[in-house]
Amino acid sequence: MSTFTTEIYQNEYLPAGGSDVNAIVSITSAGENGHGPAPEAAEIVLVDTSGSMATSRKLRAARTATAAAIDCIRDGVAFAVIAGTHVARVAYPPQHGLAIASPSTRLDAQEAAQRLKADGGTAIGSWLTAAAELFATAPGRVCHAILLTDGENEHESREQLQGVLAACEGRFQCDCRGVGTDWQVSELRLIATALLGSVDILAGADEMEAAFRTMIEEAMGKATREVGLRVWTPQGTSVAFLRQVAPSVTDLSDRAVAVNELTADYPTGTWGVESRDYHLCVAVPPRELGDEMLAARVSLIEGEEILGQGLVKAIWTDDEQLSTRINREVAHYTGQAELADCIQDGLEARRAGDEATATFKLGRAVQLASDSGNDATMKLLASVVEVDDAATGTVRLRRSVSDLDEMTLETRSTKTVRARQSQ
Amino acid sequence: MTVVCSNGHPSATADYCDQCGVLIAKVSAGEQTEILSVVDDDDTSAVAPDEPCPGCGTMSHGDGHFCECCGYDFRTSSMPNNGSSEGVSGVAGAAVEPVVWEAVVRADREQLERFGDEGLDFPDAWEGLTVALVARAVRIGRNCEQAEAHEQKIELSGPPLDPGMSREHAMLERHSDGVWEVRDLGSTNGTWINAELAPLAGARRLQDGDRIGLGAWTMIEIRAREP
Repeated sequence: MSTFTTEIYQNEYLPAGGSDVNAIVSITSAGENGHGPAPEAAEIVLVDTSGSMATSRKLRAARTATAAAIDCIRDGVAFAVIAGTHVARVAYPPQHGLAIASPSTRLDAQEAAQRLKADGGTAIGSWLTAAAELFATAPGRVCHAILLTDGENEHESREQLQGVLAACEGRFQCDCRGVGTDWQVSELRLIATALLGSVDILAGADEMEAAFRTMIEEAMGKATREVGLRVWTPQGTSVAFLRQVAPSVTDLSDRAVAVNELTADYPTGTWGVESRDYHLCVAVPPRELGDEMLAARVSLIEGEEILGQGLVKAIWTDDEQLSTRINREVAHYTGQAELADCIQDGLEARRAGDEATATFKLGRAVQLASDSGNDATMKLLASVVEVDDAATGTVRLRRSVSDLDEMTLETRSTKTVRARQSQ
Repeated sequence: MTVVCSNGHPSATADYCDQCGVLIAKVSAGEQTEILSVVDDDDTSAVAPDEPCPGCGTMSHGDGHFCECCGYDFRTSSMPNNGSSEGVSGVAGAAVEPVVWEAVVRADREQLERFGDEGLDFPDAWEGLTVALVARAVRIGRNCEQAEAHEQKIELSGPPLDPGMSREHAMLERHSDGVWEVRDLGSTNGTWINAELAPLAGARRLQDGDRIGLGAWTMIEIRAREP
């Protein structure tokens, strides 16, 4: 159980005829154990052991990284290691089901990790299916997996993978890492988005161990069960979109599960000590000047328990000073979402040889990144384009760009910086 | 607790209607006592009006059940519970025994008789509506364009439209001692209180169950109800 605070940032004033209500819902979890211990956890390490892992010292690094991950699993957590190729093989434990972490089982698992061998192809869907089956043997636990791959899914179609993901959704969360440049960003993003996890790129084998440690430590720090955003909107209105905008952009609009005619739940996964921001846009039929209505009631729920709540309002006014006031948070995150889109569109145009579109889109991205102080993204953009003038978004495409730079930019395109909070 | 919004929806939430989202009552820690702390006429207060309120020291605390300034409860000698969270629980926590005041609007044949135009169509099929009184001032009329921001509106613009209703017909106001008063806003056809025509100037105090007749056939009963 964790302590949550919910804040709403919006300009509630709309001009006559105004119908879009935008608000940033900012949620912070203090992670204090207010009502008893954190829920029991289950953790599975899914490590790619396909033939390609035998190159560039990757397999040895994967063994070390898996051992490091096991090190971070705290006592009492149910866990397993799955070695993935074109099939999934449970590397640990030897018996059916999950092992319970203790000094001796961790040691056994680390020994098993040292015996991992590389051979065969890649069928990530089968790894996820195996993980779901193992998690099912530990009901009531909060389930999390980390997935490492170095190549693209060869042995299944995108549709097969999507089918597996649909079956796994809501059963466990999965953070994904791709090592090197032979994997598909869109594929891992698909998995991470469906399973409410993160996706990132590891340049080389030497980054694996630290990445594995960080992921497991973060998972061990989660203090809640599955938390959802419950969004109530009044009769005659609709949610135009709901997306997470910090720490990264993820659209949740099509993840709505209807509770009743006016209410839907959106999954957010488990929470540790962290802050996340969400951008909610509600389409409302315009009302009379002077009318005030509630455009949305946003509640944070764990099961049926309400952890926090915020109100999104709409007031119609003919006072232009009020209705034209721009809310800083809404503007900032609208820009961050556009930044992510511009990078993805720009890189796609660049790959397709459409230099004009690529230059325009990446130029706009540079402008947005510069304006918002998103230095990390700015740096990545500079490896793909030469920036003549960031303020106007004047850029030239670089002739030679390394695959790693391009993939790093694509993978991290959704990373945002937080708005400087105003009160 | 269920309240009824100005559009007639029963709502489980007291700040905004949980059906249409319309504002019912401003709820915040400072305003909680504005909403539902209502005094029964029979209450004997523990603090005389000329003594300072033990909660905040103000003299102008009224002579009712709760201090108008800080919400101090004179009968139980306790401060209101402001520790409760926002929303419904905050409203309920404002008063120890909160009362919800409602205006029950009906089409009434007695009023039609008093109005004295037998040729009018009486809306037999109309079941009327119930409105929770959530502001201190409630303006009643066909089209209350002059209503100020803090006023609640009961706009009876039909259908069915009462042809004897003025645009700005009458005003309900909660007096500082918690008692509701009604005053005619210079309507064309006047306002009746329990079958008696209200004076053109000044306000009349109301009691639970009083009936206000307006226009050709509109009857509004003011009712206190346990939430």
